Amino acid sequence: MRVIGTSPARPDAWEKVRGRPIYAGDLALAGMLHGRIMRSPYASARIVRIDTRAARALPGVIAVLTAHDVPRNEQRMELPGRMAEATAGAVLATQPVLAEDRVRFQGEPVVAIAATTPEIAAAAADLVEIDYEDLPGVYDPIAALAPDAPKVHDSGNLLRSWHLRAGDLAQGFARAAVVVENTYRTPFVDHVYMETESGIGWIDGEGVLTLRVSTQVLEHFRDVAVVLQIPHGRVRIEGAYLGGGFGGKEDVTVECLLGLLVWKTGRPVQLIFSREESFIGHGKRHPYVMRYRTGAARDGALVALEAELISDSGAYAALSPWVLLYSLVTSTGPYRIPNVTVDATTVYTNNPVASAYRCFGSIQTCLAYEGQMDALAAALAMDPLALREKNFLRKGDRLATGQVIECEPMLAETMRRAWAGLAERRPSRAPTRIGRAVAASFSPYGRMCWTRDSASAWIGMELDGTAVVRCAAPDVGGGQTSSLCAITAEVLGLELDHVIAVGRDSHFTPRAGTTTATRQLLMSGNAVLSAARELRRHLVGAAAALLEAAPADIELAGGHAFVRGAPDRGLSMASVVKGATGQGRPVQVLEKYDAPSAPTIDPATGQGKAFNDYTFGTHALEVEIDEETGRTRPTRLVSCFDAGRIIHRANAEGQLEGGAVQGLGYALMEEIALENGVSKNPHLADYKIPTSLDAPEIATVLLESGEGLGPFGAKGLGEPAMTPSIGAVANAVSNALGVRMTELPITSERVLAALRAKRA
Amino acid sequence: MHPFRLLEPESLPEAIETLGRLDGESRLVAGGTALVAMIRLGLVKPDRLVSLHRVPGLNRIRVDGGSLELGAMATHADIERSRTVRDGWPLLAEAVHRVATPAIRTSGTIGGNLAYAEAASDPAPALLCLNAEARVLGPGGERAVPLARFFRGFYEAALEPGEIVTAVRVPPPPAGARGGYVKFTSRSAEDKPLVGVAALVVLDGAGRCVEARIGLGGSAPTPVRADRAERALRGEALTDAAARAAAEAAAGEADPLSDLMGSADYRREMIRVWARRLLIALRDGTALRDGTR
Repeated sequence: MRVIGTSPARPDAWEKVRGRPIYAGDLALAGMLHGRIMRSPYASARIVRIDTRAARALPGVIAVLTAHDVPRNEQRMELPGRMAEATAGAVLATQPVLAEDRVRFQGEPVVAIAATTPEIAAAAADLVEIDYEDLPGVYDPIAALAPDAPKVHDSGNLLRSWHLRAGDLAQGFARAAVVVENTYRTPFVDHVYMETESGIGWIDGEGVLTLRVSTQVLEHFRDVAVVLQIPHGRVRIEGAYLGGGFGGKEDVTVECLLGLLVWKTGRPVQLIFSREESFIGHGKRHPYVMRYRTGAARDGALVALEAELISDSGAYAALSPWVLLYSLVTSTGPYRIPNVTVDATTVYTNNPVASAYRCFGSIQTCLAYEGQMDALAAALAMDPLALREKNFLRKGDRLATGQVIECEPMLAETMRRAWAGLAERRPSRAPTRIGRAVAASFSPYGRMCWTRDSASAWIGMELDGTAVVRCAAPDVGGGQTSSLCAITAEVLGLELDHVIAVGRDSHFTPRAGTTTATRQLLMSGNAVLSAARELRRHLVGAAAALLEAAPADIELAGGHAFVRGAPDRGLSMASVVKGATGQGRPVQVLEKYDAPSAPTIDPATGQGKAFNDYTFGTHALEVEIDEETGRTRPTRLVSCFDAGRIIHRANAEGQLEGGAVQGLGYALMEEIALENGVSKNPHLADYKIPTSLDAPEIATVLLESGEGLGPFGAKGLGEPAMTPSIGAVANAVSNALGVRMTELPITSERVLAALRAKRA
Repeated sequence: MHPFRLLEPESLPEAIETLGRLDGESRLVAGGTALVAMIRLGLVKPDRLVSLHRVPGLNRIRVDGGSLELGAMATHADIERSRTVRDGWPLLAEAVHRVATPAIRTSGTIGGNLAYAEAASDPAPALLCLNAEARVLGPGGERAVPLARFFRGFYEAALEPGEIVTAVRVPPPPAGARGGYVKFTSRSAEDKPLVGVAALVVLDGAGRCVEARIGLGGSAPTPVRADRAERALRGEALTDAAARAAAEAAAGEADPLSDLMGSADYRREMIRVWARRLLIALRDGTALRDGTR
């Protein structure tokens, strides 16, 4: 292959380095208004009175909207585009666009203002009188399950449970020579993308409400239409390059509020969330409490797992039931365990809403299952790598859900290569302790099978022999667009700069679904591959006629068509395209890719096929710990994954590096500090993320099994790249200390406390 | 962000006059790195900002009668790069170099840093060790405030309404002085210090402390000198045990707060660790890695 697997410069790279792309918040229109959202300062309160008169009287204020101004004040928060019949017993996940009589979390939108300047909008906000009356709230998911706990919703605080049952737990534990039990805890964390939620909206000449927003999901146009009670086709969402998404721009962010302000004022409106608003306004990663009890036979074979997972959904359901399902399916880790009982529950509280965040519930479990593996190895006096290798899933094995792993996982090889990459162990010399460990992992790529996911792509040839790809796949910065171009160039034998992918637009590009769930390479990649192959058939047919040769003997390469073995007597692609049109052959094609589907899993037993396939990989990590301060410095990290097939090498390596560093932040320093549901650190001065100075030396190793379901056998890397990170950190620190670390973030102070507790 | 008017006086008398004339909420702004963030968060809502950027000469760095004089508008970047400072006051250059990030150091000023009176200041512990004084100008004239008396309380400097810090004067360090600054961050490398420890010692031929000064940041409501620790050291041989005892004294006299960076107990423990390590490193002339760089 000429293009696939190489690292050509991305078309957007130079533009971004120069600061030139027009992000959603950068566009300005004549007569544009500035939106501002007033949010609840309280986590649980009744709205007694809202008086907007003084604000509306302020010159320059065009609209001050409350719940009563929203045609249908119910914002859907379900998987976009999912099949209606495939609810899997989900609750109806909705949230008011503007709170009416009650607020359930700090940051819940209450009033939307549009004014001629941002300053006037701010002054108007000061003039709106909102009287709140405290309501008792609940801030801990376990406390929320108590019968007398304050109810976040009338339906009660239990949002959703899933269960996994395999084998016979009692028999399994009866065979165990060792049993280890630990409780693991993770905090609320934020995505902290560079670009906060933003957008601009206007009504175009045909009366279509058009929103250019920073989103991973163009299909939220439907949600806006439902809120405004207008036909779906009257709302258009135009995507832009994103300054990061990581799942935080999967749910609706600015869309409904912006649409409402534009629709009500009839004027262009810009809405940009401040960093503080972003911190309190959008969905977080779910905190989990995970009680794990794992048994192994004397030879290390895993025999039983009993686990209880409780996640904090915050004030609304959002995607919590599905995030929890990912946790359920991955709760065993990438291991064969014959006897499994897992109960997973997600609970409403008056904490921030939790929803999608890179790895979508499959990362919290890695802290637990990989902590258990090292704990078992210690109990068995066995090498932790040997213990893993003995239990790793292999091709043909079954998950506890009964699903057969049909692709080669290559787990043992990812672990061996990652570990080898750490090189020689350095001795600990007081006061520095060295810790080293691995964490293996698996995360799905592509959506849950029952969603019947699909993506479409259109490719057309221009008369100059260049190709245009139309596919509504938002590029969140991971290089989604450049991968689609690379696939097209490969199949059509074009130079990469003769392929452009245009538009990410709900009206003008074929639907390709969300850039979430590590699905775009699988879904849009396959759709583009299919379209390119179909187009190739037409071009080859045209060239064969022109060259008077059999189609089977025609090759396309370097922007030319020629008979195999005679590249110097070829035709330019421009001539082929002209020839094809002259012969009445199509030079534009639209193709759709449908992911394999399966019925929903059994909610009582978890049995069934939840996902089509998984990406497997390992982190090996070395840390240095100052035993007098507890300061933990990751010094070397090796990330090894089976990519299936590398489409764009630099993009793939970038995913591995970025995922690793994002995970190190989660493991070592990040936490939304809440006091009765109110954030104490909604700003970057006190919510710290890793900088380049905090990142270790990172080596990436990419394997290619060729067994993925994506184009050319590719798997997805976006989310899986992060999954093993927290397990690796917790295990490496535990290795250095001789104490099992079970709670994130593993701060310097917690490390020091663990050392002291051990000495005492 | 609360709207404000920006006033830009072109001389110190004009600045004093402007501040005196204004009613309502007005604030002096230098580099703006702290104040603008506070306005954005709505913690202060000034109607007017009086900037000192147009006052000529306020960013000058010079030596006057053997003392270093830093104009209040000298930025951290100006100071850390100044040959004069690096040669004559290396402890100060080292501490200023540890402030935040290059972008912040290019905007933030030494006068602004001190007037903000933040406990977790990087330069303050070093300046305390160097016996610096602030030059303050107000409607009643000019006065000099030793830094040890400049920090009055939590985010509170000893400045009366209408007064401006115009300069920081730093006497020459004693002959043979060895100094160092440790910034310990507990989260990312780009953070305020959980604790900052500056020390300056002069050792005689027998290894005894002829002079010992220790300044602490993040260890009390304001930057402070660790008086008891210093007394414990003076006249004593700087042995490991003496360093340990001094560090213990410093931890004992510290009065730290608990916040999201760490608890008061952890801060106290970190003073104990870093004061000891710093004193021993100064004695041995070895470099000290504070774990974040």
